[in-house]
Amino acid sequence: MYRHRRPTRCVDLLAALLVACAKPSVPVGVAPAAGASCLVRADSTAPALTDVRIVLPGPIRLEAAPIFGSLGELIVQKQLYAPLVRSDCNGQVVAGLAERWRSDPTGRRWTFDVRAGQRFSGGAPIDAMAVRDSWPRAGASPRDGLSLLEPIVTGPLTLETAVVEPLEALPAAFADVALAVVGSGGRGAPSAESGAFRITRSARAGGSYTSFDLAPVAEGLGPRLHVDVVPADADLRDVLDRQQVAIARAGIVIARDPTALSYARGHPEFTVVPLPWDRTYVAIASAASGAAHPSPEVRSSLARDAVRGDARAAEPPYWWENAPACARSARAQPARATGDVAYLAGDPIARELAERIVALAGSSERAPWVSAMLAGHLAVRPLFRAVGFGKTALDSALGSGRLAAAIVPYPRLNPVVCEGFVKAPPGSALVPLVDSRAHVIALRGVPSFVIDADGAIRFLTAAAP
Amino acid sequence: MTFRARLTIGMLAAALLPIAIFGIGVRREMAARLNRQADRQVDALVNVLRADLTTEVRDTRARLGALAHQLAADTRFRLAVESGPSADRRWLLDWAVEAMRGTGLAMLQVQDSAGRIVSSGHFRNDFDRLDPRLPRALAAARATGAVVRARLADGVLQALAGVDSLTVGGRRYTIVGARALDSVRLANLSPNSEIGVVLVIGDSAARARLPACGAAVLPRCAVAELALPYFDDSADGPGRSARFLVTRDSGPIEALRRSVDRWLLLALGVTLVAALGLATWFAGRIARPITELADKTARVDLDRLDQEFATDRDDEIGALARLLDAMTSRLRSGAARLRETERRATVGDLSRQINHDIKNGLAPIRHVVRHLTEIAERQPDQLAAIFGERRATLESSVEYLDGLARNYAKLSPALDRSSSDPNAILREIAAANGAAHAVIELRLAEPMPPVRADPLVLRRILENLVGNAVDALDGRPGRVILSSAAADAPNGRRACLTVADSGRGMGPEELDRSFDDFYTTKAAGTGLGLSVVRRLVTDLGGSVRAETMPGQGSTFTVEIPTA
Repeated sequence: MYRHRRPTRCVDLLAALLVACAKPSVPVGVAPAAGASCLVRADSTAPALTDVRIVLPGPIRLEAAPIFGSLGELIVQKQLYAPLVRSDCNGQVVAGLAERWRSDPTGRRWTFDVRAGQRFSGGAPIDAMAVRDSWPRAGASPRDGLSLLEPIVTGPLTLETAVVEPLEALPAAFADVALAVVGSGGRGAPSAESGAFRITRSARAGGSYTSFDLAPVAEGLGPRLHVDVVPADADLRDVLDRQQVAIARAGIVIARDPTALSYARGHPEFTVVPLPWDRTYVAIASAASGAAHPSPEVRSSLARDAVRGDARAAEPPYWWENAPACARSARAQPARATGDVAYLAGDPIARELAERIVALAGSSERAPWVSAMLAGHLAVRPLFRAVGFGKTALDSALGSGRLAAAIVPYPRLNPVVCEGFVKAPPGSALVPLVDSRAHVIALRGVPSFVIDADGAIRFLTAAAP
Repeated sequence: MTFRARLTIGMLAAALLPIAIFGIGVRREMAARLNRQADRQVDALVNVLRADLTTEVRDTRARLGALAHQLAADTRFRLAVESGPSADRRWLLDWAVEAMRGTGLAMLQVQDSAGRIVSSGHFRNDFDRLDPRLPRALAAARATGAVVRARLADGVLQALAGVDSLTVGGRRYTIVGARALDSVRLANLSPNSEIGVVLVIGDSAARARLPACGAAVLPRCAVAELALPYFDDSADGPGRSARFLVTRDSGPIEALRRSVDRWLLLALGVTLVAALGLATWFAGRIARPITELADKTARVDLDRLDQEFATDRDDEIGALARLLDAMTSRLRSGAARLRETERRATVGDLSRQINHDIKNGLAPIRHVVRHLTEIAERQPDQLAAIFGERRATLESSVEYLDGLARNYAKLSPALDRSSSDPNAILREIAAANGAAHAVIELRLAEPMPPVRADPLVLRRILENLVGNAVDALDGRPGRVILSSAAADAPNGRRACLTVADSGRGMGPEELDRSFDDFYTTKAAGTGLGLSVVRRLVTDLGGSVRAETMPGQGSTFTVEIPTA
């Protein structure tokens, strides 16, 4: 029986484990992290392990890297592909592939000096030309999000780019993994790595990766990572049990499942650390009218009662209100309404929210915000139902206009690249419901890792003394 | 209709009728047995369904009772319903989900006294909805249970529901549970694909599509039904009834019937073809000798009595053939006698006519002679005078007789003693008398002197001989040799013309009579051929002779003077 408990004892343990002033190791090609509070050390008394098994929720694909669609893809890409700069969980910008960066007085034009001597996994040099070629080749057209102009190579290691509008988030926005530098890979192979780790082995099934072996750029400079990909609805308690038995030394599990978190909190050898709120679940209402937004109390009720993961009421500001184009798709095609409330298949929180909206829609005491959100469909189909869709099918169904609503996760932060999430068709309303976050479960002995501002963990590879 | 056609039809009927009767009987018996079997299965299924529903309702109520007891005893439930939003509220929201899984129910719902859902297992997030009608409706149907149509997040669920209650803190809570009535489960009740169970709500269109089975053959019809109360939690209005219809699909039986019909028709068709072939062959085999007898009989007449009916068959056909053969033989004898009689009558008539005519001519002469005799005896001196007086009478009578002789002589042509080429005539005859079975050879001496004979007469002589020679072959293959030669004789140089055949030949008695008038051995012969030959040859100053042996053929040699 699942019982949600707030992380009380574990939070205290986590606080003790967070080494506020610990000086991190010097990562290869990366400047030392200044935001030490982002550094997590699971057990400083245990000897650092050289092999770490990580369990991530799937599916994970790397064909579109560095564009990501799930937390698992984000974490893997964080290890494989490095951006020009990095930003820790405190928002502090540190060096990435670039060793220096500067802007003109307007704050619109930015110049980056790429550190010399860096190479992709295939041996190609990482220079200004490679950075310029990386972004469009990777499909990371940033114009819709960050509104970057075409970068200009001004020197072998110097790159100049400009943003249409100066943002307060700069230059931290350049740390987004979507702007990570990727090299050209072979047919069907992932892009050449530029980050601290290289793929040494991988296994796939049905186009998705099932496991990776990641090694640091040089032997002995950091832990070897063994990544296992599990379905999003897998019972992670089995994974934790298996790790305890088969791999007793160390492990990292990324989880949103409250049952797994509760299970981990009940064992002292686990450290459970919440990751930043990384998702906002929104209802894309195709024919909303009037006050379709629930009150904070209703959102809190949804987060508390309807959602079983770690959730809270969605909190403004919502980036799509300032950058609506980034959240919108192409023109919608009118079609016969079905009254279905769709959700992204494999996402339990989206399903639970969709089911709750269906329940509220069928109630004789229907809430005004529900009536407003489903206004265009109430007369057509009084009996709603929750239906799961894959991302592609959901995009198509939303574009056709036949859904009453769709519950999808949006990035909590303003995405630099407007890719990787379901977009709302023109004319639809975006109704924020709840925020959600994942947790990292770390076993004793896991080497220190950094929690980035985007909610990903990132292992550090130590430079040779 | 011919005898053969009647025989064929009779044999076909004899072969097809038993098979058709057998097939129709099998088809009827099979259909009757299948219907009886289906009726028994329907009765059994209705009993099973009734027992199953009763057991399900009882079992559901027992489970709900246990859950109510467990829930009432759980402090977390008390805290959750008493304390408002708290950590135990989420436990309560999840309670029905977990309890439903543990009890195997498809629907589980807890409502407070106001009818507000506090926990729902089949639709977890359907909490706080007000729905007091469901427990009331189920309480009214407590004994029998009821079929409910409950909302799910992704659709609806039809289930057989029961209800129980518990009291906590002085407040009454109802707990509703149900087991699914899906089509798979209903299908599992069916013993086979022909009989099924369908759940129909009210007088819906589905009910209209399943009329009661009657005399008419329907693809699928209802043969029995069980009714239970029905509740739809998403619809308002009066309660309707849910009917479990036991349906029977006549499709398999009809398919079996069609299959039997096809096989029966195929058997009939094969039998028809086989019987037709056999009957045709057999009828032909039976009718052929009869047909042959009929053909032969049809060819029999007085001029053609040479048909052979003899056979070695020892059956009725053989007996009939022998009878016909004997009858034909008797006919041949009778016809020969008849012709002989006719010839004799003809000769008699001619003789009588000649006798009469001669008597007519002789009578005056006889009277004159008798008168002259009397005169000579009595009045010899008057004899000359009387003779002179009666001379005219004598001359008149002689003239009459002479005229009579000339008239009868006119019955045969006068001979023309002009010369003719015998080889040319033989060639013409050989060319004109060819027969399929007879090979006519010419062995002519060259040069051959002309003979003193009318070509027409010589031709008539030789044609008679050649015709007899061909007839003597009796239709069997044989040869006829025509030869000519010139020889010197004491009375002058003569031409020897020979007609030899390889036919049946003649015995001595037959040879002796062969040149007699009106003697013949041929059915259609006149008996005048050789007699005419002999007469004509004699008229030409020649001779004719025959050399023959039975079975060895005959040789006729004509010698006539050369020109």
